[in-house]
Amino acid sequence: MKNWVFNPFNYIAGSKALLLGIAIITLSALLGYFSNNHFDGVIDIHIGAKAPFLVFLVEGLINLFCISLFLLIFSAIFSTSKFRIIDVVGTQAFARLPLIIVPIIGIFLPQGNIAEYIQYTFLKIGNPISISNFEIAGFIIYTIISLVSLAMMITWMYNAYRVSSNIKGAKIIISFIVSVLLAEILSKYLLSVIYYFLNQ
Amino acid sequence: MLKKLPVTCPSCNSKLKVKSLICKDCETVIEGIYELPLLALMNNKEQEFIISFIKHSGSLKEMAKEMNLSYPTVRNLLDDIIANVKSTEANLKNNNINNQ
Repeated sequence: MKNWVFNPFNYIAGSKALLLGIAIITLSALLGYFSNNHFDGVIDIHIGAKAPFLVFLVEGLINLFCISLFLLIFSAIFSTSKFRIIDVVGTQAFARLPLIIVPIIGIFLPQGNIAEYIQYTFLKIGNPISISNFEIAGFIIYTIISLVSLAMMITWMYNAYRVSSNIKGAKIIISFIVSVLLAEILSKYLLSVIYYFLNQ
Repeated sequence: MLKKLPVTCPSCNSKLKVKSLICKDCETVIEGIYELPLLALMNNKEQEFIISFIKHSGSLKEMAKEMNLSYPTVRNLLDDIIANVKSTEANLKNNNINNQ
Protein backbone atom coordinates (compact mmCIF):
# COMPACT_ATOMS: atom_id res chain seq x y z
CA MET A 1 0.00 0.00 0.00
CA LYS A 2 2.81 2.39 1.00
CA ASN A 3 4.54 1.52 -2.24
CA TRP A 4 1.39 2.41 -4.21
CA VAL A 5 1.16 5.81 -2.53
CA PHE A 6 4.78 6.88 -3.04
CA ASN A 7 5.69 4.89 -6.12
CA PRO A 8 2.74 3.71 -8.24
CA PHE A 9 5.11 3.24 -11.19
CA ASN A 10 6.08 -0.24 -10.05
CA TYR A 11 2.53 -1.11 -11.11
CA ILE A 12 1.63 1.35 -13.86
CA ALA A 13 3.63 2.63 -16.84
CA GLY A 14 3.58 2.72 -20.63
CA SER A 15 0.47 3.48 -22.68
CA LYS A 16 -1.91 2.93 -19.74
CA ALA A 17 -0.05 5.58 -17.70
CA LEU A 18 0.05 7.92 -20.71
CA LEU A 19 -3.71 7.67 -21.37
CA LEU A 20 -4.55 8.16 -17.70
CA GLY A 21 -1.99 10.98 -17.54
CA ILE A 22 -3.55 12.82 -20.49
CA ALA A 23 -6.96 12.41 -18.80
CA ILE A 24 -5.47 13.83 -15.55
CA ILE A 25 -3.96 16.81 -17.42
CA THR A 26 -7.28 17.49 -19.20
CA LEU A 27 -9.29 17.24 -15.97
CA SER A 28 -6.75 19.45 -14.16
CA ALA A 29 -7.10 22.00 -16.96
CA LEU A 30 -10.89 21.93 -16.62
CA LEU A 31 -10.71 22.35 -12.84
CA GLY A 32 -8.07 25.08 -13.31
CA TYR A 33 -10.41 26.84 -15.75
CA PHE A 34 -13.20 26.95 -13.14
CA SER A 35 -10.92 28.02 -10.26
CA ASN A 36 -8.41 30.18 -12.23
CA ASN A 37 -5.54 27.97 -11.08
CA HIS A 38 -2.82 28.11 -13.71
CA PHE A 39 -0.20 25.37 -14.08
CA ASP A 40 2.27 27.98 -15.29
CA GLY A 41 5.47 25.92 -15.12
CA VAL A 42 6.56 22.32 -14.62
CA ILE A 43 6.41 22.62 -10.82
CA ASP A 44 4.10 25.65 -10.56
CA ILE A 45 0.51 26.31 -9.68
CA HIS A 46 -0.73 29.86 -9.20
CA ILE A 47 -4.02 31.69 -9.01
CA GLY A 48 -4.18 33.87 -12.11
CA ALA A 49 -6.39 35.62 -14.60
CA LYS A 50 -9.43 34.13 -16.27
CA ALA A 51 -8.51 32.51 -19.58
CA PRO A 52 -10.05 30.16 -22.16
CA PHE A 53 -10.02 26.44 -21.30
CA LEU A 54 -7.54 25.82 -24.11
CA VAL A 55 -4.89 27.94 -22.30
CA PHE A 56 -5.11 25.71 -19.21
CA LEU A 57 -4.88 22.61 -21.38
CA VAL A 58 -1.86 23.95 -23.29
CA GLU A 59 -0.15 24.77 -19.96
CA GLY A 60 -0.50 21.12 -18.88
CA LEU A 61 0.72 19.76 -22.21
CA ILE A 62 3.71 22.14 -22.37
CA ASN A 63 4.71 21.10 -18.84
CA LEU A 64 4.57 17.44 -19.86
CA PHE A 65 6.53 18.12 -23.05
CA CYS A 66 9.28 20.08 -21.27
CA ILE A 67 9.94 17.65 -18.42
CA SER A 68 9.74 14.63 -20.76
CA LEU A 69 12.17 16.22 -23.20
CA PHE A 70 14.96 16.68 -20.64
CA LEU A 71 14.38 13.37 -18.86
CA LEU A 72 14.55 11.59 -22.23
CA ILE A 73 17.80 13.36 -23.10
CA PHE A 74 19.37 12.34 -19.76
CA SER A 75 17.96 8.81 -20.07
CA ALA A 76 19.61 8.51 -23.48
CA ILE A 77 22.93 9.69 -22.00
CA PHE A 78 23.02 7.83 -18.66
CA SER A 79 20.70 4.82 -18.87
CA THR A 80 22.34 1.48 -19.58
CA SER A 81 18.90 -0.11 -19.78
CA LYS A 82 16.64 -0.40 -22.83
CA PHE A 83 14.20 2.28 -21.65
CA ARG A 84 11.06 3.08 -23.63
CA ILE A 85 10.00 6.63 -24.53
CA ILE A 86 6.37 5.79 -23.72
CA ASP A 87 7.36 4.80 -20.15
CA VAL A 88 9.25 8.05 -19.52
CA VAL A 89 6.46 10.24 -20.98
CA GLY A 90 3.55 8.14 -19.68
CA THR A 91 4.78 7.98 -16.09
CA GLN A 92 5.52 11.73 -16.07
CA ALA A 93 1.97 12.40 -17.29
CA PHE A 94 0.54 10.17 -14.55
CA ALA A 95 2.80 11.86 -11.96
CA ARG A 96 0.74 15.07 -12.37
CA LEU A 97 -2.11 13.40 -10.42
CA PRO A 98 -1.30 14.72 -6.89
CA LEU A 99 -1.56 18.33 -8.11
CA ILE A 100 -5.20 17.87 -9.22
CA ILE A 101 -6.31 18.42 -5.62
CA VAL A 102 -5.21 22.10 -5.74
CA PRO A 103 -7.74 23.40 -8.32
CA ILE A 104 -10.43 21.31 -6.57
CA ILE A 105 -9.63 23.13 -3.31
CA GLY A 106 -9.55 26.34 -5.38
CA ILE A 107 -13.16 25.78 -6.43
CA PHE A 108 -14.39 25.20 -2.86
CA LEU A 109 -12.16 27.84 -1.26
CA PRO A 110 -12.02 30.69 -3.81
CA GLN A 111 -9.07 32.94 -3.10
CA GLY A 112 -10.94 36.09 -4.20
CA ASN A 113 -9.08 39.27 -3.23
CA ILE A 114 -6.24 37.61 -1.33
CA ALA A 115 -3.63 38.55 -3.97
CA GLU A 116 -4.62 42.24 -3.84
CA TYR A 117 -4.67 42.11 -0.01
CA ILE A 118 -1.13 40.66 0.16
CA GLN A 119 0.12 43.16 -2.43
CA TYR A 120 -1.25 46.13 -0.49
CA THR A 121 -0.33 44.86 3.00
CA PHE A 122 3.24 43.84 2.29
CA LEU A 123 4.24 45.84 -0.80
CA LYS A 124 1.90 48.86 -0.60
CA ILE A 125 0.83 48.27 -4.18
CA GLY A 126 -2.77 48.93 -5.24
CA ASN A 127 -5.69 50.02 -3.07
CA PRO A 128 -6.39 49.12 0.57
CA ILE A 129 -8.64 46.10 0.79
CA SER A 130 -10.11 44.19 3.70
CA ILE A 131 -10.65 40.44 3.78
CA SER A 132 -12.50 38.21 6.24
CA ASN A 133 -10.94 35.71 8.67
CA PHE A 134 -12.65 32.99 6.63
CA GLU A 135 -10.71 34.12 3.54
CA ILE A 136 -7.41 34.14 5.47
CA ALA A 137 -8.09 30.61 6.82
CA GLY A 138 -9.01 29.48 3.29
CA PHE A 139 -5.78 30.91 1.92
CA ILE A 140 -3.68 29.15 4.59
CA ILE A 141 -5.41 25.80 3.89
CA TYR A 142 -4.98 26.34 0.15
CA THR A 143 -1.26 27.12 0.58
CA ILE A 144 -0.58 24.09 2.81
CA ILE A 145 -2.44 21.73 0.45
CA SER A 146 -0.61 23.23 -2.55
CA LEU A 147 2.80 22.65 -0.96
CA VAL A 148 1.99 19.08 0.11
CA SER A 149 0.57 18.25 -3.35
CA LEU A 150 3.59 19.79 -5.03
CA ALA A 151 5.98 17.77 -2.84
CA MET A 152 4.02 14.62 -3.62
CA MET A 153 4.07 15.35 -7.36
CA ILE A 154 7.85 15.89 -7.33
CA THR A 155 8.28 12.59 -5.42
CA TRP A 156 6.17 10.83 -8.06
CA MET A 157 8.07 12.53 -10.90
CA TYR A 158 11.37 11.33 -9.42
CA ASN A 159 10.13 7.77 -8.89
CA ALA A 160 8.62 7.76 -12.40
CA TYR A 161 12.02 8.73 -13.84
CA ARG A 162 13.88 6.21 -11.64
CA VAL A 163 11.64 3.29 -12.68
CA SER A 164 11.39 4.18 -16.36
CA SER A 165 15.08 4.96 -16.94
CA ASN A 166 16.73 2.62 -14.37
CA ILE A 167 19.60 5.07 -13.92
CA LYS A 168 21.40 4.42 -10.63
CA GLY A 169 23.52 6.26 -8.07
CA ALA A 170 24.21 9.99 -7.99
CA LYS A 171 23.48 10.29 -11.74
CA ILE A 172 19.73 9.79 -11.22
CA ILE A 173 19.47 12.49 -8.54
CA ILE A 174 21.61 15.06 -10.34
CA SER A 175 20.05 14.46 -13.77
CA PHE A 176 16.55 14.72 -12.25
CA ILE A 177 17.29 18.04 -10.52
CA VAL A 178 18.91 19.46 -13.66
CA SER A 179 15.99 18.24 -15.81
CA VAL A 180 13.42 19.87 -13.53
CA LEU A 181 15.33 23.17 -13.52
CA LEU A 182 15.79 23.20 -17.31
CA ALA A 183 12.18 22.13 -17.89
CA GLU A 184 10.98 24.87 -15.54
CA ILE A 185 12.94 27.50 -17.51
CA LEU A 186 11.78 26.17 -20.91
CA SER A 187 8.13 25.84 -19.84
CA LYS A 188 8.14 29.38 -18.38
CA TYR A 189 9.58 30.70 -21.65
CA LEU A 190 7.13 28.81 -23.90
CA LEU A 191 4.17 29.82 -21.73
CA SER A 192 5.28 33.47 -21.69
CA VAL A 193 5.21 33.38 -25.51
CA ILE A 194 1.67 31.98 -25.41
CA TYR A 195 0.51 34.57 -22.85
CA TYR A 196 2.09 37.31 -25.01
CA PHE A 197 0.10 36.26 -28.09
CA LEU A 198 -3.06 35.92 -25.99
CA ASN A 199 -2.75 39.51 -24.82
CA GLN A 200 -2.30 40.86 -28.39
CA MET B 1 10.18 -29.34 1.94
CA LEU B 2 12.52 -28.44 -0.90
CA LYS B 3 16.02 -28.10 0.55
CA LYS B 4 17.88 -24.93 -0.41
CA LEU B 5 21.17 -25.55 -2.21
CA PRO B 6 23.91 -23.69 -0.30
CA VAL B 7 26.14 -21.80 -2.72
CA THR B 8 28.32 -19.71 -0.41
CA CYS B 9 30.55 -20.86 2.42
CA PRO B 10 29.01 -20.00 5.84
CA SER B 11 32.52 -19.60 7.23
CA CYS B 12 34.33 -17.37 4.71
CA ASN B 13 31.56 -16.42 2.22
CA SER B 14 33.45 -17.88 -0.78
CA LYS B 15 31.51 -19.64 -3.55
CA LEU B 16 31.15 -23.34 -2.81
CA LYS B 17 32.15 -26.08 -5.27
CA VAL B 18 30.76 -29.58 -5.71
CA LYS B 19 33.02 -32.23 -4.15
CA SER B 20 31.04 -35.43 -4.60
CA LEU B 21 28.10 -36.80 -6.57
CA ILE B 22 26.20 -39.95 -5.71
CA CYS B 23 23.96 -42.37 -7.61
CA LYS B 24 20.99 -43.02 -5.34
CA ASP B 25 20.32 -46.44 -6.96
CA CYS B 26 23.72 -48.13 -6.75
CA GLU B 27 25.37 -45.67 -4.31
CA THR B 28 28.32 -45.07 -6.64
CA VAL B 29 30.13 -41.97 -5.41
CA ILE B 30 32.13 -39.74 -7.73
CA GLU B 31 34.53 -37.35 -6.10
CA GLY B 32 36.27 -34.35 -7.58
CA ILE B 33 36.11 -30.58 -7.60
CA TYR B 34 33.32 -29.32 -9.83
CA GLU B 35 32.08 -25.73 -10.33
CA LEU B 36 28.41 -25.10 -9.61
CA PRO B 37 26.66 -23.91 -12.78
CA LEU B 38 26.05 -20.15 -13.00
CA LEU B 39 22.27 -20.55 -12.62
CA ALA B 40 22.71 -22.52 -9.39
CA LEU B 41 24.73 -19.65 -7.94
CA MET B 42 21.76 -17.29 -8.18
CA ASN B 43 19.26 -16.84 -5.38
CA ASN B 44 15.79 -18.41 -5.49
CA LYS B 45 14.02 -15.25 -6.64
CA GLU B 46 16.43 -14.80 -9.54
CA GLN B 47 16.07 -18.45 -10.57
CA GLU B 48 12.27 -18.16 -10.46
CA PHE B 49 12.47 -15.01 -12.60
CA ILE B 50 14.63 -16.76 -15.20
CA ILE B 51 12.31 -19.78 -15.34
CA SER B 52 9.31 -17.47 -15.74
CA PHE B 53 11.21 -15.55 -18.46
CA ILE B 54 11.77 -18.81 -20.39
CA LYS B 55 8.15 -19.93 -19.89
CA HIS B 56 6.93 -16.62 -21.33
CA SER B 57 9.23 -16.96 -24.37
CA GLY B 58 11.19 -13.94 -23.17
CA SER B 59 8.17 -11.62 -23.24
CA LEU B 60 8.61 -9.09 -20.43
CA LYS B 61 5.16 -7.69 -21.27
CA GLU B 62 3.53 -11.05 -20.53
CA MET B 63 5.59 -11.42 -17.36
CA ALA B 64 4.58 -7.94 -16.19
CA LYS B 65 0.92 -8.89 -16.68
CA GLU B 66 1.30 -12.09 -14.68
CA MET B 67 3.35 -10.46 -11.90
CA ASN B 68 0.98 -7.43 -11.70
CA LEU B 69 3.96 -5.13 -12.16
CA SER B 70 4.70 -2.45 -14.74
CA TYR B 71 6.84 -3.28 -17.76
CA PRO B 72 9.84 -1.10 -16.72
CA THR B 73 9.82 -2.64 -13.22
CA VAL B 74 10.13 -6.14 -14.70
CA ARG B 75 12.79 -4.94 -17.14
CA ASN B 76 14.71 -3.42 -14.20
CA LEU B 77 14.58 -6.78 -12.39
CA LEU B 78 16.05 -8.38 -15.52
CA ASP B 79 18.73 -5.66 -15.66
CA ASP B 80 19.67 -6.46 -12.04
CA ILE B 81 19.97 -10.17 -12.87
CA ILE B 82 22.11 -9.41 -15.94
CA ALA B 83 24.41 -7.24 -13.78
CA ASN B 84 24.60 -10.02 -11.17
CA VAL B 85 25.42 -12.66 -13.83
CA LYS B 86 28.17 -10.47 -15.29
CA SER B 87 29.72 -9.82 -11.88
CA THR B 88 29.52 -13.53 -10.89
CA GLU B 89 31.15 -14.52 -14.20
CA ALA B 90 33.91 -11.98 -13.64
CA ASN B 91 34.47 -13.24 -10.07
CA LEU B 92 34.61 -16.87 -11.24
CA LYS B 93 37.07 -15.91 -13.97
CA ASN B 94 39.28 -14.05 -11.48
CA ASN B 95 39.16 -17.00 -9.06
CA ASN B 96 40.16 -19.41 -11.84
CA ILE B 97 43.08 -17.19 -12.84
CA ASN B 98 44.21 -16.95 -9.19
CA ASN B 99 43.95 -20.73 -8.75
CA GLN B 100 46.04 -21.46 -11.84
